[in-house]
Amino acid sequence: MIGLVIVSHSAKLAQGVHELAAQMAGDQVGISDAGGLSDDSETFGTDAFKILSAIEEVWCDDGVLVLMDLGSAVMSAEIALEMLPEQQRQNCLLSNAPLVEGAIVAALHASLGEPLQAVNRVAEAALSAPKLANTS
Amino acid sequence: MENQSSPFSPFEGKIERNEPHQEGGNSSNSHASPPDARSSQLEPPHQLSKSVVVTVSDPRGLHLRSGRDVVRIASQFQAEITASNLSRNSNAVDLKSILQLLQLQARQGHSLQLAATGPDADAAIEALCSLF
Amino acid sequence: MGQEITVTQLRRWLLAYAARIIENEDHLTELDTAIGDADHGVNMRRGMGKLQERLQDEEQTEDIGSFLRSVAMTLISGVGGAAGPLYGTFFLRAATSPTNGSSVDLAQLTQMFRFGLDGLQQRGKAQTDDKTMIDTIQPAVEAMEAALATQQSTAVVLAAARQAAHLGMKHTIEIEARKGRASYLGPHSIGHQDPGATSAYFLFETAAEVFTKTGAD
Repeated sequence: MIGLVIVSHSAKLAQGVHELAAQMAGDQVGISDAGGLSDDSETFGTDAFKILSAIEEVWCDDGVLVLMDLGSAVMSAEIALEMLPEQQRQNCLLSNAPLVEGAIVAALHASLGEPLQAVNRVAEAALSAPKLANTS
Repeated sequence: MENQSSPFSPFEGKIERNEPHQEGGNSSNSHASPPDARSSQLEPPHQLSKSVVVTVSDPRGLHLRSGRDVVRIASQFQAEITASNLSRNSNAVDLKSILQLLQLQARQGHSLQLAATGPDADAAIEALCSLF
Repeated sequence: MGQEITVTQLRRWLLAYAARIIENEDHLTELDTAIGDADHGVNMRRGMGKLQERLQDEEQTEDIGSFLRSVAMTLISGVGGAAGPLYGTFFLRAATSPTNGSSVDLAQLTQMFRFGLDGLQQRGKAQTDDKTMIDTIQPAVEAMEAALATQQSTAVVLAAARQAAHLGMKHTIEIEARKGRASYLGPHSIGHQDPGATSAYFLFETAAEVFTKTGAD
């Protein structure tokens, strides 16, 4: 079963999305969050080292999917990935999915035991999923 | 999900059993069939369609967590499973997708039509009915 | 030629850089208020405060690579915004360039900046004329390489870098932003100097000042 990492500029947002995702995943899926700067989580920002330790926290051989909010979160996550040992890096994926919807979908599908790429695919599909009822 | 164990209880269901809608209607062209993964998976003898109308009993409607359980159950079956919200006149959505399911905006008392197509359609509908 | 730059001088350079950024916090904020989200000054000042702490109480490593890596880590964790990962990447890549262990010669110093620039371009995916820190750093590195090729002294090479960086920074006033938040403004970004290009200019200004004063060690 894959692990999930939630990255946000806000520590509170990252924790909140983590909780929401945990509701969807049950206990089986390892989820960690990395929000705000390392020694000052009140300050908005992202920190590659915080992301790196969040990846290590939920590491498993099935891989880890990293979901980010936006902007420099992506650069920080890229740096974190580059710091992973080669073996792990190949099994760690940065997702293009929107953070909240993506985390919900990814958590649920991870809990169904789906592999990394498949979980990322359904999470990224959330980019185009409308929120409002599709009535005719 | 309080009543997961009683498969037939809280929905007012009319179950319609449909014969397979198979284009062409015979199997003589099996060698000539196009490389369509779906049609080759659905062997005519096992191809079942089944649909049922359920009423949402949960006072909070179909929400994130109950939706999660629906997706979990639906994902256990091979059948394609869709739902539409008759009370909102909505299009059919894929019940194996939590985001699509939430698009139904299903409140307590809404009627949902669940439809399954595939070899295990019967079992899928039966299992899903227990959740409403 | 022949002058070797040691960790002590790199440390002195980055302390001068940190002080210059802190002096210019308001200026950076002002620039970023015009075309960004007004946080470049605050972010850089916070990061530079952390860098000062790190440089001052660090166990005096003599190895250039480990020194630059520790600078990178401080900036990655301490700056925030887009500048943290970008400056962090610059020093992280610079740390991988060849050295003589505890010192670099002028060619190696130039290559160190080149490594940093290449890393920055990969990370931020920006080119020259996108109105970013690349507009300062790329011409500066190219000027260093050109001056080095004609056997110039450290003072001349670094003066060339500083001048090219300055021109590059001023050039960002004339161009339209194509990267970062300023790009949302489109043509309205013209007429404003890029804050990232400005903070990057100080790298070369302070390098020219510090590495050229040799006798003072």
